[in-house]
Amino acid sequence: MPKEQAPDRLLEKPENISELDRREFLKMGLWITGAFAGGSIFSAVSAAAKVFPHDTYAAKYPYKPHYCMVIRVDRCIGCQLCMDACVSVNDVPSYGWRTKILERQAPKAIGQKREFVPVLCNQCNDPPCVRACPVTATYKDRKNGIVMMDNKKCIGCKICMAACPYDARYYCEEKGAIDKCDFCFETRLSRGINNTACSEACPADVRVFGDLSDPKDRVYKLVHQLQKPVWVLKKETGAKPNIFYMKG
Amino acid sequence: MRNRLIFIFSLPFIFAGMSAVAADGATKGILYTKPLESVIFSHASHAQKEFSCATCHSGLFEMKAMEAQKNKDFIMDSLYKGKYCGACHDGKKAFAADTQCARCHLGFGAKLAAEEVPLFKKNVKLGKSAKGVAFSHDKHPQSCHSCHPSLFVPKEGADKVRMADHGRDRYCFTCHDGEKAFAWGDCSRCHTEPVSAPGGVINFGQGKKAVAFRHETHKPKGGCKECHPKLFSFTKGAAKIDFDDHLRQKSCFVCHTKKNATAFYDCNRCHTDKKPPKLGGPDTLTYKTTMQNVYFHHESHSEFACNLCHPAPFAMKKGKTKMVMAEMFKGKTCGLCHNGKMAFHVRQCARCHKQ
Amino acid sequence: MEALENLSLTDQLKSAAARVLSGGPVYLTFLGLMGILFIAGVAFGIHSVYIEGSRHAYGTSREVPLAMLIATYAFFVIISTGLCMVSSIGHIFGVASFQPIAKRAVLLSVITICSGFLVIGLELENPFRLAIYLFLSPNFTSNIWWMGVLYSFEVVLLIIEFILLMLDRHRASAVAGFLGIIFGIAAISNLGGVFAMLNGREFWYGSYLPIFFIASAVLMGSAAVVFFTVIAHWVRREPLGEAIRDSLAAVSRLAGLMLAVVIFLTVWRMVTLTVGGTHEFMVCKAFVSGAFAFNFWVYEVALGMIIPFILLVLTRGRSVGVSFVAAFLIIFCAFIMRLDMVVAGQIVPMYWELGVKEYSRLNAYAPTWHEIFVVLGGVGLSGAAFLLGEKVFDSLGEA
Repeated sequence: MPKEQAPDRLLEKPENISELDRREFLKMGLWITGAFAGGSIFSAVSAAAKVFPHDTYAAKYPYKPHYCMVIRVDRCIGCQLCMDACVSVNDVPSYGWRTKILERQAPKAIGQKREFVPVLCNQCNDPPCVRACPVTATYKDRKNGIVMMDNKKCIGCKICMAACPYDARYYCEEKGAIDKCDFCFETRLSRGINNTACSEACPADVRVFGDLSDPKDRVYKLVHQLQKPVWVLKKETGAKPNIFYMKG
Repeated sequence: MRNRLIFIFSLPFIFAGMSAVAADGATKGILYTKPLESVIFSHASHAQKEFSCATCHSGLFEMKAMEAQKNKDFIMDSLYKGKYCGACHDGKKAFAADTQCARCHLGFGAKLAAEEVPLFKKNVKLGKSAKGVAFSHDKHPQSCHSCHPSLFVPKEGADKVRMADHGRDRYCFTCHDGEKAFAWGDCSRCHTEPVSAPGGVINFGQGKKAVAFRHETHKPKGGCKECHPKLFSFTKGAAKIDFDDHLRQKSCFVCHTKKNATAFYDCNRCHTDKKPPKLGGPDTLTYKTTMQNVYFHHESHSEFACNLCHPAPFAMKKGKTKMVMAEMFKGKTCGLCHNGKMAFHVRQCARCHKQ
Repeated sequence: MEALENLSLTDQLKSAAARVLSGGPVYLTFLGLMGILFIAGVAFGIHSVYIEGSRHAYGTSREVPLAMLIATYAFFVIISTGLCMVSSIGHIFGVASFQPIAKRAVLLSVITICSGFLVIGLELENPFRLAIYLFLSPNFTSNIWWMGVLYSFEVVLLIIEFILLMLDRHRASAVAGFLGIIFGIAAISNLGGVFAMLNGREFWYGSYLPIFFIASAVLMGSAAVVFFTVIAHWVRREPLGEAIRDSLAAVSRLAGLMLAVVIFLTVWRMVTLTVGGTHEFMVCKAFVSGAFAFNFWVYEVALGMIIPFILLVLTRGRSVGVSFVAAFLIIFCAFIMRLDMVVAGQIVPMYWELGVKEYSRLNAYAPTWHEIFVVLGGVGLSGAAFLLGEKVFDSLGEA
């Protein structure tokens, strides 16, 4: 299947070619989502909107605030304080998880031989789960872009669990519906606390939660720079996630 | 490498508080679980480098495992300021503490394979050549921190244990005092080669007046301990023997009194510059008076022990004691005995004041 | 044929009941067995979802959320659509040799789809919400929504077609049938799309599954026609007439042809997997030499494709007995095919590429007895309904 060749060409502008080329050679082959191309945001986003259907991409960041999270994986030490905070704040049952720390061993690496990668719901801009749900029990909030759950509608068909490329959803028996990370909207954001529980609990400042549409926000500055590589997971699925990973 | 294999099977040191759970693929070392789980420290990866135990264990870290995490300041900021691991992990001597986080941080729920026995020398030679002591760690199965670094710097050759330290509350002798462990009196228990008393002459005092002491002539039953360190410290030149000490039963005179050994009346037995003793005691002393002089003859008093008059009321130094007749009447100086009861009364002037 | 309009409803029911009860001991035993299976299946299903909880009762997990029950649902609705398509060859497209089997095929299509609905109803955590919110808050981009709606329409249209067929109103029934087949094909495509439109699941994604399901449907439909027709004649204790034999031969040859198509599709599917991404290659490996190897080679390939193909080609469909055996093999192994397809798409963890400890092994799934009994419940419903239908609707064997 054609994997994202057309959008890259479309994103080409004379002043952008070198930046795109640089990004071509990122080692892991995991690419930035297409929201930022080094040139003007407007040109990148409108070019992306031409390529992807659904017309959910406006000529600017469509959500206000456009919540996202930047995860600096080189700082993660696997202490799991974020997991504990999430479980206690959001009443996550023991058989499920909303966020998880994955551990990668690389015994042949020079120096550091392990890596910790936090994963959670990527609050995608083009969510496969939202597309697949037959009763719109999950939907993308129009204001802030969080992929929300309407628990009363969920029929438990679990197609969203199969659709999610990030294994972010699970069936919660207590709620009688699918549960997933909602950036602590129900428990914190809607009550005036402007930070997620996991981000606040992290002792190493790994998770940076913020508003991608605000140029003064820390996440904006972290994502919109070319020195340190920024990538997303599983870009090839076309889900256009809002969780950015970076090192440095 | 070969050492590591030997030591791993040697008698293990017991590290208090260290969890030792065998697991597949688990790491060896010390697993810190506070303030976060978990950080691994492996002696093995630090012992290959060219530094000794003393590099870290002379103030930076206790030699007892897991002590560091009891401190409230065992946090990353302290490391950035140069404390704990940060003393070396500053980017210059070793990778900086704010890089490669997961190199030390193992994550939650990490397991420790087995106790890690850091490298140390089983047998240590204290001192050089024949006088040396062979110390064996095997025979001392206490925890590292009972001796290190409080008593001994954990580096071979760093400490110098001298004769003067024997018997003091330092080095080995904090335990080898006869109570916690065997007393140090039997030299051959520690010293590889038999230690004899030093030969040669030890001079007390300088020049001609010096008293020459030879150990060969002194072999008390109790060995060194009879005199050292209570009577004489092991340090040369430390002992100062006063004239008055001759009578106070100090230093040499603990033994050299009338009972145990030759009394000290024979001055030139020790003081070779002095004339041989006269029978009856030392010379006549001349007291110059306004009237006729008093010539005191020790011979007339030789039946008495020296310490009857010396050092009180008479100092053993010529001219030191002031003779005042009025005081004698009151029982001072000569009047102590010459009061008519024990000896003729002082009133009988002519018995002393004469040509 | 009785003039149905002349008898009252109660009389019709009474005579139907009489026919059922006079079926003989073998018939009644099987009917009872099917009925028990159906009740047991429902009981197990209700117990699993509402009492024990599907997390413990069913073998599904977070990593493998869709498993045997979804596969069974797919199995039943594909047979149903296949039966609908095979019957439409006869009386919509007017192929004469397919006409004798058409009526029964329509009824069976309705019955099997009800089995499918039963199984999926016992799989969903909250099935009653489906009835409400399917209409109150539809999602037009959802394959499941379209599938639900289209199959509902199809069932209604098929029931109408059947009634019209029983009333001998052939032209009207043809219209209903035609609409039914349209909805049916649209619905089965969406069933394929449920899996095929998930970009994150590389084994499922692509245009293969909707196409394959159509081919498989025709195959399974024709096999089901042969299978049920032969059994029906045993039930009726009638020998197979010349017309029926010819019809069965034609259907068998269609089955043989579809087998060739399915074999060809499967071969190329497997070959293409070897050059797909990591996920596809690992699934291919699992099929060829891994966890699914026995299922694949023995059931899917040998018993489900090669042997029936050889049997049908050698006899050219002329031998009813051989066709019956081939049909049974095709149907049974198709179930295994559906199960393997559904589970294999989820065995490679989503975070496989990260190379992390937590996801360094393929996911595993094993069906539980609860799931097996729900499947048997679906089989029981189909069997019981079919057996009853043979007796109640006397004229099924006629064109």
